[in-house]
Order: sequence, then structure tokens, then C-alpha cells
Amino acid sequence: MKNSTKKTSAALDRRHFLKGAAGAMALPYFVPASALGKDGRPAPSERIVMGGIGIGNMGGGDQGSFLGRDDVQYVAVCDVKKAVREGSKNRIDSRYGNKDCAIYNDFRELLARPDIDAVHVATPDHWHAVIVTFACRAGKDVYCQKPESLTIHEGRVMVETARRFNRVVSGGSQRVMGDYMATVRKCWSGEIGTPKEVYVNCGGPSVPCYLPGEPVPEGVDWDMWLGPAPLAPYHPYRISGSFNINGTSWRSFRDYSGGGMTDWGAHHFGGMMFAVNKMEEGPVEIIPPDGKDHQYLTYRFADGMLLYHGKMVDVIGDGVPVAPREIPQYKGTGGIYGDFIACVKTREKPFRDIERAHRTASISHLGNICYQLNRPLKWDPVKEEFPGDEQANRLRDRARREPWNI
Amino acid sequence: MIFKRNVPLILALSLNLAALPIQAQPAQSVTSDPYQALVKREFGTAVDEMTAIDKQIQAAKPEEFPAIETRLIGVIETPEATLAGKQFACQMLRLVGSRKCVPAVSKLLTDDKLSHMARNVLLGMSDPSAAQALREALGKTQGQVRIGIINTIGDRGDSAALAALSGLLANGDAATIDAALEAIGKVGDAKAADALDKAKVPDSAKTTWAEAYLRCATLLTAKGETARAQKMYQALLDAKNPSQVRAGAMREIVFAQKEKAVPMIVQTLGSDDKLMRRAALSAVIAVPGKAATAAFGPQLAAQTSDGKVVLLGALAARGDGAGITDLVNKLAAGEDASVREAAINALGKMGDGSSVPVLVAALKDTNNNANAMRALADLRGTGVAQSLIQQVENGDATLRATLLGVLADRQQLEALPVARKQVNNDDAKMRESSVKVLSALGTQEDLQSLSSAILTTKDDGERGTMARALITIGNRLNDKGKRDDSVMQSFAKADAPTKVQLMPVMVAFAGDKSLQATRGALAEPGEVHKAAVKALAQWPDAAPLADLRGIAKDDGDNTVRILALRGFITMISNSRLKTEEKVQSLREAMELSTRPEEKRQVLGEIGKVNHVDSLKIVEPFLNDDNMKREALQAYEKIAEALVDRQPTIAKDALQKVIDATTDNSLREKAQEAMRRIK
Repeated sequence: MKNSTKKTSAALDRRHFLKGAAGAMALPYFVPASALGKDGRPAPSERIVMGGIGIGNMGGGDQGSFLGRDDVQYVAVCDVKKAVREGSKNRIDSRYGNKDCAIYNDFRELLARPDIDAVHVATPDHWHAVIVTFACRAGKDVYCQKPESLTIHEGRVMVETARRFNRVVSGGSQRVMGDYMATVRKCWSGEIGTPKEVYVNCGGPSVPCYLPGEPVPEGVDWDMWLGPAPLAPYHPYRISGSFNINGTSWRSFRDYSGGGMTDWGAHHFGGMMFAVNKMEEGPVEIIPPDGKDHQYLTYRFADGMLLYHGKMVDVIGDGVPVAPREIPQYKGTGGIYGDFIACVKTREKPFRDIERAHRTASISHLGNICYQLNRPLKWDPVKEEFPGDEQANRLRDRARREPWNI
Repeated sequence: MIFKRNVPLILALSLNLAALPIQAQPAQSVTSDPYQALVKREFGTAVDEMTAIDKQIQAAKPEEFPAIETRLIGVIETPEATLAGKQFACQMLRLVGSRKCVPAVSKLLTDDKLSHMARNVLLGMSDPSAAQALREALGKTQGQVRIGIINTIGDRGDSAALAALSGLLANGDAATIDAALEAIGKVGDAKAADALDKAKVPDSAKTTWAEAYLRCATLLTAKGETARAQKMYQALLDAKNPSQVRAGAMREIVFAQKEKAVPMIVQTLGSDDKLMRRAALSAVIAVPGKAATAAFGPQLAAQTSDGKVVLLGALAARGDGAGITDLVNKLAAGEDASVREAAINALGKMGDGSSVPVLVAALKDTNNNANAMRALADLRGTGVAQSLIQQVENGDATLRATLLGVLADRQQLEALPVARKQVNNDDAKMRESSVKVLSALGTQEDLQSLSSAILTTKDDGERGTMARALITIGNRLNDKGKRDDSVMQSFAKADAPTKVQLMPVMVAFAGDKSLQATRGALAEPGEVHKAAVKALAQWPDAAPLADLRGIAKDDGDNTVRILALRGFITMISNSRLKTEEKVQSLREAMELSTRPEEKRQVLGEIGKVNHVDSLKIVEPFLNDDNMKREALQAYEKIAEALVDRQPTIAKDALQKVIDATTDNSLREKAQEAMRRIK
């Protein structure tokens, strides 16, 4: 999709402005009171310039949160659905009282804009790794909706790429900090002692998609929606961003998502790994339910802690109190979104730094692989491989449809 | 469930697994052999057959894989097989395929619609034939298909493909050159680095070359080949390379050089390039060790005003003041307003006990008062609590009160003895801050002292603050049984305004003695009587139910009667009364209600009591224009709950709702309940 000349000239103006301002002095990235604009907002040169990629249910929510911030200037949106991107443009233009928001069908055009500092990504899961790595390569910081990856290997590449290009990349589960504080406090206060058993209940794995084809509606770029996923015909359920995982949305299907296991697992596993302070660790063994010794899919960690998939979230400790620790908090103001923006400015790691997000997603993926193969698996959380198990190792990644690459 | 539905499928799965290739079969025989069904599969068909194969593979032992693989090879080698059928077969070969399937899968690598699926089979296959097949496919393909193959070679990190990939750099189109460079970068060994060193690429591929070079260098670092990698990072710092690549290279150099990188970092903080400036900020945070922190000291001193502001912010994010706290303390007390503000903010993250006097002094600066307060609350270094306590014990009362408040925000246990001493101070602000500390940190013994202190104050606002602190402390105690005792003595001695303020404490503690004292206060006149009724009406359990009924009937003050009645109504459904008793009590409450507000409240509560007699209480209001809406809602709710136990009565009641309501959603609910009866 081509952009309007008005937008291009606005972008050029922005570049010239930045160049001129940068030439005048070395700009601070912390906003002293003297840098505030007349309306009380940070001066334009101090705002984080943002664009959004994938503006469906979650993307619209993320967009609203960033759009409401005075220290963000939102300038562009990208979506493969024409009606969505145009609706999104209207929302942004209405916020700023102008017509400046640019719209794109192809995220690469948005990422090519030098004036954009950061993007948020809320496409279907099968696109996350490609877009996040492209964004890092373009020098953008990224807020990526959860679940951040479709495969374990993709998650690792996302971490490596973020580090390689020195980018701030935040995962997108606001619930990790928001929903489980009672459990987190219980653990971090030391009152339950060393965690021994952890329970998580989220939906199950995704399933293969066997839907027939239907004509592609006007205004939908179906090939771009599929992107790195296998060639498949259009169907309204494939493209639906509904939160259902009952076969009527892309969240249900293995080609695009890990199902409830990753969709809610990103929150629940993430929250519980926060509670037990294992946000950057992984299990050493995964055992499927067998109806006898293992009622639930069970993850065993190196220190003996067991994590079960299949009962309401909770942590049980050994009851021997341990020293309390200070619970980490978001930086900045405005929850997970403020945390990301604060870190874009300071270059600190956000609370849901991509390594932590990847480790959480990995737990979900490992569970899905175990359910699929239906046998116990050994896992090396350092090398991120199943030692000597080629069949399981093959499921750590998938080939991406050409030309997409990470 | 699948297996139950598909007995013929299972028979076919367990028999004759060697047929090769599969001939397209007439439609009627497809269901007898799921693999033959694949041959004709179109998207949306053969669902049961694919599910059965999927389950078969999940249940199979490894020694059974070869037979399944043979059948799947049969599908992809069948000339008539559809795209969808071959696609599914490839997805299954990813799970069970071996070198045996490579020749058949390799043929699909050149197919523009199936190449992706073939790559998916080969991507994780360790057998050398898989890598060989991908390398050979490079010479047989063009365009997008070849790009896909290059990508998969890169994902496999196939060093043996380097020559072929390098060859594409000279002869490929722009997209192919980019893909080949990326793949070489992913191989990430010394030979890949050599290949990139020698690569001659057009200007259009310079950025991709630099990205690949950076990726290769990070992979060499991971393999321990740091000398070569560092050389590559240094080369990438050249200004001709894209900023984002230089930013990445700088990160790796900083990790390797540690404090020696400090001058480079500081210089880059002043760069015109925003990506490089941000990289420098990252570096300030990331460069490890206290030696590095100390090395920033001289650099900080040498900066211009703007430079100091930037560096102070980054040092704050680093959170380590080793060797530079004194300098930052001085800047926080300096002349330059921007630097002073930045230094005060930074001290919250990197200061220590020596910063307390500086920050205390900054409290008097109207522009920095809030910054200094925040910094004092955040300060985590050694000696901070001790230094704050010293400040509290000296100086003017306003400042001391402010600092006590800071200690409360910090949850600093050391402040407790000071606060206990000051809780009866003549200065109101000191008392207020002391109460704040006690509220945040106080224990059982503080319930006693606060209960005494509340008797001496003449300020109603202060009494309220103290009462709220009593509640907060009481709620925090593990032994909640002792809470009552601490307050009873003071309550008995308290004057009327203090008793009014202590009533919420009675409700919060809600022990037997609190209840007794509150009942006792009913005998007192005026505001105390009213506050006692209010307290009983808010009691967390139903213990004062009878008291409230009596007051609602007999009290001389109409307002008090209403207060009691409202508490009585709410308490009925929360009580442990039997259902019949609840109905009787609500009937009584309805009789006592003289205003529509309380009648509506009864109707709301009666809906929760599932009894035939509840319907009778509601019935008089079904035709009352003022009450009809609430009455119908309650009526429907009761009737719905009676559907299983007393269907005839429920049916009549639901029909009345359906006939009388104008609320569509209520009518639908009633109709739904009615369907359950039918």
C-alpha cells in the first residue's frame, strides 16, 4: 500500500526536524521540566514516536494505551485488513485533531520510516517472530503481544536479535504483574518457604486446521495474513481474531497459535514463574498425564519443583520460611505500557523483557510438544534442546514460508 | 472418540502399510484407507482420516515409524495426489520421516507450492542427506523458492553450503543476495566470517551484509572465538555502517572492554545519531563492575550541563553509586538547576546515607521538593535509615514531621520507637506523621498507646486519622482475638465525639467485647446513639440482627429507624437463619418499610430467598407502578430457583412475569426457565 504524499512530506519534515535538533545539541532522553511543551506534554522532540502493526482485538487495546500517553506520538498503523487500518487511522487522527496518521498494508514500509522509534505488534502469533526481528533490524524498540513466539526457536532468535541490535523488546502480558499479586506476595514474602508445587490452569493445545476454503473478501490481503504460515485457503474462522479457542478463530489452530496453552499460558505460566522467581529458567523434564502416576501434565525443574498444568493457579511451599525479597515493579507510570516507554527512554530492561517472555512461552510450547508426542521428554533449559531426541527437537521450530525469515 | 467412529480406518491403519505408490481410488473406497483419502484430499475434506493418522502417529512406537513413513512417501509420490494431501503428508513426515523419505521430499523442494512443506520436513532432520538435498536444490530453483531454501540452509547453520551461498552473491538478484548473506551470517563460524570478509556486494546489500557480519560475530563470540569477533565488531563501528548495526557492535565491545570502554560510551552519549545515543545509554547500564562506575566519575565532572543531565539519568538506571556518590551529592546541591534536578532524581537510585542531608536540604527547594521526597523514599544505600532518624531527632518540627512521613513510606522499622515517642507531641504535624508510621508499622502494643492518645486530642480530624490507624494495625495482627481488649478501656473513658470516631473500629474488630460496647452505646443520647446504630447496621456478621429489628420498630428517631431497618434487611440474607425464618424476617421488614426505597431493598433481598412464601411477599407489588420492575425481577428469580422443586408453582409465576414485563431480557430469562419445565 502506498502512502499519501502528505504523509511522506510529514515524515520528511520530521526527519529534518530531528536532524536539526540533534545537530544543535546532544538531546537528553530524560525529560527535565524545562523540556515540557506549552500544553504540558513533553516537547515533540522528547516524545517516543510509535507505530502499530496488527490492530485487531489486542492491538486496538494496546494502541489505546499508547495513544493515551502524552510522551508518545503515534504516527502510523499497519494491518492487512483495509477496514481495520482505516478505522485505526480515524481513531488516531481524532486523538490528535489532524489527518497525519499513515496507513500501511506491509509492515516493512512502516519499519522503513526513520522517524519511528518504537512499534507495538499484535498480529496473530505466527507473525510475531518475523515482525519483531525485522523491527529490531530496523532499529526499532518493540512491544509485542503475548504469546510472543510460535516455536521455541523463534523465541530464542527474538531474544538474540533484540540483544544483537541493542533494542528494548517487551513481551505483552500485562497479567503477569497484574493478576497474581496475592500469590506473588505469598512467595516473595518468604512465608510459604521454598516453592515445591505450582499449579496452572489454562486451555489446552491448538489443533490442526482442516477448514475448507472460501472466497477472500474485498479489502483483505490473505497472502500477507498467512505470511510465514503454510499455504492455506481463506476461511473466516482462520482469520478471526476472536478470543475463542473452540475452532472458530486462528487461536485454535496449530499453524498460527499454540491454543489456550500459549494464549492464556502466557499469563498463567508467566505469573507463576514470577511468583516462584524462575522467570528466566525452564524445566528439565516434561511428563504427559497418564491417568495413573501423573494426573496432570507435569514439568519438573532442576531443583525438584513441580509445575502442573491442569488446576487453578497456586503455589505450595515447603513451609519453612525464607528471607523476604523486594518484589520487582514496573518502571515509569501506566502499567506494562508505561514500563515499556520508560525503558525505551532509559534503555533499561522492561519487566517483561523478551528473555522472560520467551522463557514463559517456552513452557507453553514444551507442554504442547509433550501433549503432541504423548511421552515423557527430557529438556536442557540452557542449550534449549531435547538431549538425544530428534523427533522432539524437530518440533522446536518450523520452516517459514518463503520469503519470510528470522 | 475418533477411533470409535472410525473402525474401518483403524483396520486400514494396522494392515497393509507397504503399498507404494498409492493409486487414486474411487470415492467410495477412500474411507477404508486414510492414506488413500489423502491422495484426493482437498482443503476441508478427509478430516476423519487425517485425525486418525495424526492419532496413529501419536500412539506409535518408534519402531512403527518406518511403516507409516512408507505410506506417507506413497502419498507424495503419487502423481495424482493433491496439494492439500501432499501438504498433510509432509506435516506428518516431519514427525516420522527418516533419510528414507529424503529423495521423495527433495522432489517437492522445486515445487513453488510445496517447497515450504518439504523444507519443513528437512529443517530438523539430522541425517546428512537432508542438508545435501537442500544444497542440491539451490542449483535447481530460482526466485522465492530458492530464497526459502537459502533460509532453511541458514536455519540449519550448514557450513558446507558456504561455497554455494557465496556463489549466489555474485550471480543473484537483490533479494537472493540478501537471503544468501543472512544465511552465511547464521552459519556463524570462522569460514562464514571469511566468506563475508571476501564478499563483494552491491550497495543495495550493504545493510544486509553488515547485519550478517554482526550476527556472525555474535555467534563466534558464543563459540569462544572472541578475538576474531571483537575485530569484526570494531570494523562494524565504522560510520558507513547502519546505526542499528553500530549500536549492536558497540554493546559487544562494551561487554568485552568493561571500564576501558567508558570514554567511548561517554563520547557516544553526545552523538547526533539517536540510535547511537541510546546505545550509549544502554552501555552505561550494561558495562559491568564497580570499576566502570568509578570511571564514569571524571567523565561526569567533565561534561557540559546537558551532558551531565544525560549521564546522571543513565547512571541512575545503572543503580550503582560506587565511588561517585560524593560527586552526585555535590551536583544535587549545585547551582545549575537542570543538573541539580537530575542529580536529586539520580540519588534516589544510587545514593546512600551520605545523600540524606543533601536531599533533606532539597526538600526546601520548591522546584525539587517532590523529587527529593521521592528520592528519600527510594534511597537504598547503607546508613540511610540511621541518617534519616538523626534528621528526625533534630531541626524544626515541620521538617521532622515530613521525614517521619518518609520513614513511614519506606516502611522503616527503625522509625517505630521515634514515632511512639512523638505520638503525644505538642505539634499536630508531628503527631500526624507519628500516627502514619504507627499505622504502617505498628504492633499490638501500639493499639494500646494509640487508644490512649485518641482520648487526649480535641481535633475530630485527628481522631479519625487515629481511628483509621487503629483499624489498619488491628487488621495486620495475627492474633485478632486480642484487638478488642486494647480499645475497650479507652472506649469506656471516651467522650461523645471520640466514641463516634471509635465506632468504625468496633465494626472492624467485631469481637464479642466490641459488640457489647456498641450495644452499650445505644443507651447514650444523640450522635453516639446514632453512630452505634450505624455501626450495628454495618456489622460484618448477623449477630446484631435482633437489635436492629427492635430499633427499626421502636426507636423514637425516624432517621435512626430507617438506618436500623436498612441494616436489618441486608443482614437477613447474610444470616444463618433457616429459609422460613428469612422469609418471615423479610415479611416483617416489608411491614416496617414505609418508604419505597426500603421496600425496593426488601424486594432485592427476597429474590435471594428461594421459597414459595417469598413469592407471596412479592405478589402485592406486581401491579404497583412504582415497584413493578423490581417486583417482577424478584419474582422471576424466585420462580427460576423453584423450577426443579416446585415446577407447577414456578410455571405459573414465570408465566405472570412473561405476561407482565416490558423488559425483553427478563422475559427471555423467564421463557428460558419455562423451557426447562417443559
